[in-house]
Amino acid sequence: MCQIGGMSVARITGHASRATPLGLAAALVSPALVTLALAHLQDQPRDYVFIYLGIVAVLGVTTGIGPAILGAGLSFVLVDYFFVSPIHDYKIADSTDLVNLVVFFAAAGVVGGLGSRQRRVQLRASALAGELQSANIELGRLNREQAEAATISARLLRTEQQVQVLEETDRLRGELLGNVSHELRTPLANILMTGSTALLASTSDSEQTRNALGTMVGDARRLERLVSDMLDMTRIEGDALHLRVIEVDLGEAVEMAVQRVLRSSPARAIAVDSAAGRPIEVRADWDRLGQILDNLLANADRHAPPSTPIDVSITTARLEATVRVIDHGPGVPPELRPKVFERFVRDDADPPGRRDGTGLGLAIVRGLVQAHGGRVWLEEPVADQGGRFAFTLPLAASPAEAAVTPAETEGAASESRLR
Amino acid sequence: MTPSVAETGRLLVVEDDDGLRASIVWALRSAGHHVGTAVNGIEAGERIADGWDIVLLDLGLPFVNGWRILETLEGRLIPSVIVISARGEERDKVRALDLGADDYLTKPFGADELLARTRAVLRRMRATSWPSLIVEKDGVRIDLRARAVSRDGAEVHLSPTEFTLLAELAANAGHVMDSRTLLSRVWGATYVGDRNYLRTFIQRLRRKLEDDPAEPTLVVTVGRRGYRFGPMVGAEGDPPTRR
Repeated sequence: MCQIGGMSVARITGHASRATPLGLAAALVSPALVTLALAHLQDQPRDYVFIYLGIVAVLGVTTGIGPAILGAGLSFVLVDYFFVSPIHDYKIADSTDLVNLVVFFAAAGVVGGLGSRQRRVQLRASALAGELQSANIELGRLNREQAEAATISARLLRTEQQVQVLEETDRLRGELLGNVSHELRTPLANILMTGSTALLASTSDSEQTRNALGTMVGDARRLERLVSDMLDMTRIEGDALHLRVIEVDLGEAVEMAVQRVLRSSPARAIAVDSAAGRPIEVRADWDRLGQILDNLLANADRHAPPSTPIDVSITTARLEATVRVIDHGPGVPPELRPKVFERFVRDDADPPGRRDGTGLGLAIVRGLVQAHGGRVWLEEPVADQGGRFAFTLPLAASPAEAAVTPAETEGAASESRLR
Repeated sequence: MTPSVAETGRLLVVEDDDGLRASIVWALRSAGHHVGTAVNGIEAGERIADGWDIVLLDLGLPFVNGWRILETLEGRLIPSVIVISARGEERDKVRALDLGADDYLTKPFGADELLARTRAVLRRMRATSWPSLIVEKDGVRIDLRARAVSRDGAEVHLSPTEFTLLAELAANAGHVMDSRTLLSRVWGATYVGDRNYLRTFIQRLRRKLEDDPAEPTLVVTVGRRGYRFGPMVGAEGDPPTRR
């Protein structure tokens, strides 16, 4: 503000003290013109002195003290020369005239000075007005900046709130998962436990009762699968899978998944072909890898006639291992091919007895494979073959490296969150 | 059903849900077990020392949380604990096993599953088929027939599952036991995929027996395949010390 004050003072004094060329010209020209006009008049007015006084006053107000004094001096000379006897002479005969002229000059100086002061005040006022205006502009700018700052802080606040909301959502999601899991599983546990115990303990019941109990137990198990699958789907979509990624033998995982599917479909022929002929170590969560394989095998088992075999092959490339699960059923209908990994996509042609899946199996497979950093796809149909599903997983360190460090690989299992 | 007496035991069911508790009790009694119940954590705390073989413990209990009960039982040889929980998260499972539970059943489960698990735990508790074999290494002495383990002369308390696992390893000292064989022999054929069990119990053994559990010399990890008790035996395959 001091700077602005200093500047304004300089501007005011500069304007007031320096006579402009235009002011000086006016001071020279206007008395001359008035004198010329008066000299040509037949009847010269008695109080012509007041005309000069007026000119000096106007000069004082409009151009400042300098031109006013100059105008007064010039007027004095012109009046003395043209109107004070002896005329056309600079001599002053009458002492009264001399007094008159001196008084006039003094009056002119005072009027000019007054006018000049008024002008200074005017200039100062206008300078102040200008100052006020620029201060207003400055204020406006500051206001805008403040508004911007307010906007930014509001935005920050909003972001902060959004982060809080997201964190809260995440927490609630976790809580919901826990609650849904608990609330659905508790009554399910009752139904399943009661039904299976009744089935186990009551050998004397009629076949009809036993069948009913069997249906109840079967449906309770199916409902449990649905609850589990929906929870897994929620975890996948909420990026809340907590994978325990370790180095696991893919061949062993496949073999165990095959054993599991054979437990429910003992008559099924499943051929496993591992090109490597040695352990294939991949980086995966053991249980989730099992789930991927279970779902793919169950899918094949569900969609191919029991008499047909399922082929599983494991191949390796430089950085990844590929597992293929191939059945010899009718294959995936063309219209379903593009969306086979989406949720609740079903083949309407499935026999009703075969619709015991949850509709989430393949969607979960996709989510889990991607969470492991792998890819999953449906291969083009081949003659004599049905559904051909394939997925990849990243290979662990090469066997040579692993042999150098046979340390606590399992203890080093890291819980990591992958996408 | 006609269960053999050897496969039955004294079981305490700690479960707050009336319906589920009733059907669990029904299933266990049908299988010939002697069954007691507790409906909340306080009651469980009062009854838990009454000489049970196995406690079936729900984790979500009123008043006193099941985790707390598990903590108070940690380090005790008897009873064995089978956790029954609606929380199916893998880390809950690992934590429960880490705290000393012998098994973990996620709700819902069927009667056959429950009975198979209790049978397996009882079998581990009562196994008498161990040979007359004493294995000694680094101050740790394992007497298989007597089911006695000591470290620097002091008795070490092992849960039935911990002992069974250690016995399998010690009986084959110097030879690698792969994970599947251990899982199948200690827990049963259906457990061969549950490597978390093995990992957790191996860690439990190391904490109780090793000077430095991070640098084990008794229960050694061999590659990714399995575990070995003590140093490797020479190519000629020296048999473990037998007396």
